Amino acid sequence: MLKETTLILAGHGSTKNADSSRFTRETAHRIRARGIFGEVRSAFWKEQPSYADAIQGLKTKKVVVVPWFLANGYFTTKILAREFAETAGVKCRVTEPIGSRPEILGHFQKRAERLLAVKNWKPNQVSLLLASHGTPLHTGSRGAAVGLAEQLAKDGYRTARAVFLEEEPRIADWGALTQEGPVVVLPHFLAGGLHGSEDVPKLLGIAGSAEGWYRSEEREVGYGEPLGRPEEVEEMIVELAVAKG
Amino acid sequence: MGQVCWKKSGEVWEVRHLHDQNAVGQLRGVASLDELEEVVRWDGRGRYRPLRSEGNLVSGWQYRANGEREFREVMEVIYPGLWGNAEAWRDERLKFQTWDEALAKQTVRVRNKVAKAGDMPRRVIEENCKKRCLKTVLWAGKKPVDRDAKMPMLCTGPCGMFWSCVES
Repeated sequence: MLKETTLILAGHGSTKNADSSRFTRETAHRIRARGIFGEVRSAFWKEQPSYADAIQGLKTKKVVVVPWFLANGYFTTKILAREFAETAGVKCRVTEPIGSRPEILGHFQKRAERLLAVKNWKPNQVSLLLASHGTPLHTGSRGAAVGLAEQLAKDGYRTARAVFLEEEPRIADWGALTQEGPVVVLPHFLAGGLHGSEDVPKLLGIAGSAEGWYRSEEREVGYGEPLGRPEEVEEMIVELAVAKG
Repeated sequence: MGQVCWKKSGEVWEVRHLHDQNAVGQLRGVASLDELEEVVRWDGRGRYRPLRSEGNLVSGWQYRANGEREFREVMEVIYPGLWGNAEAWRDERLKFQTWDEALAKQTVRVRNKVAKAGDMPRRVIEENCKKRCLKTVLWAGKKPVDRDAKMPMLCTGPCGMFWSCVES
């Protein structure tokens, strides 16, 4: 049945950042090699192939599109829904985004645990911030991050909340939001993008984006690795694609 | 297709840069699609190539694809989406956007910028599309120059690079 279906990993891509689409493309190659689907493609808003071009040359008439995004936000619900609706002769189904999978919480917890282990600290000794995008265009982006922060709060941090690039509360206000003591910041962005590798570290005033501890404003700031390495997301994508839509 | 040529020997498709068409024993073997992604991601000076259809594909490599299916994946890495477009063109079923359709999908900010400029940004088409990219800009009214080319490189709509140039 799935041999008659093409899987498309639909990401954003970038005209400036060489790493933006790297993991999407690598993950597509990994899944293709497993021989589950008739074809496996990646497609992008900012890079080649475009969503429209990815569809044109397919041998199958059924397509399942897995959004390479963390939230059911503007891009997933508006752009992808529109782009994959206009495909005469090909039946497309857009699934929930990668970020909707329940495993995501565990991946964030592991990052936080790794950072705490370095310092031999307990959750009640540190504050935790989930740094996300947010957009006034759609509430879904904010909702995903807030929901995850609420789940992470159950692990016993001094405080755990979501902060944003384009909404309140702002990432730049991290100092005031956490008051005192060490802070763990987990980027709610997919790996390879500029936000997780450059923008958020800059707003935090830390000198790097690799997972580890940094000093900023005379405080200890632990920064987690963005999500999205192929081995981390491959199985989630297959699960999303094969689930009944 | 574009800057790439290939030779079929039995079930093996040997793909390489057009400059290396006649090279013997001097080319680096590329063994996987991930490795090929790294080849096409950078230009000869180590700069990121966001536009894979730009005429700056590095030479000096070859990929031996085992069978037509793998060959097709190799072409998908080098020129994503373009093989399918060429097949659709050959079969007279290729769809491409009009300028108005493409513009309508952009944000208000971009649409306002275009509106202020007056019309389709011809300057970007001349400087970005025609000078950098090997594709024929179907949506701007162009037709493939070589009607006999088996696999023409065809542009079906303004790409991310186009809009990035419009915004800048």
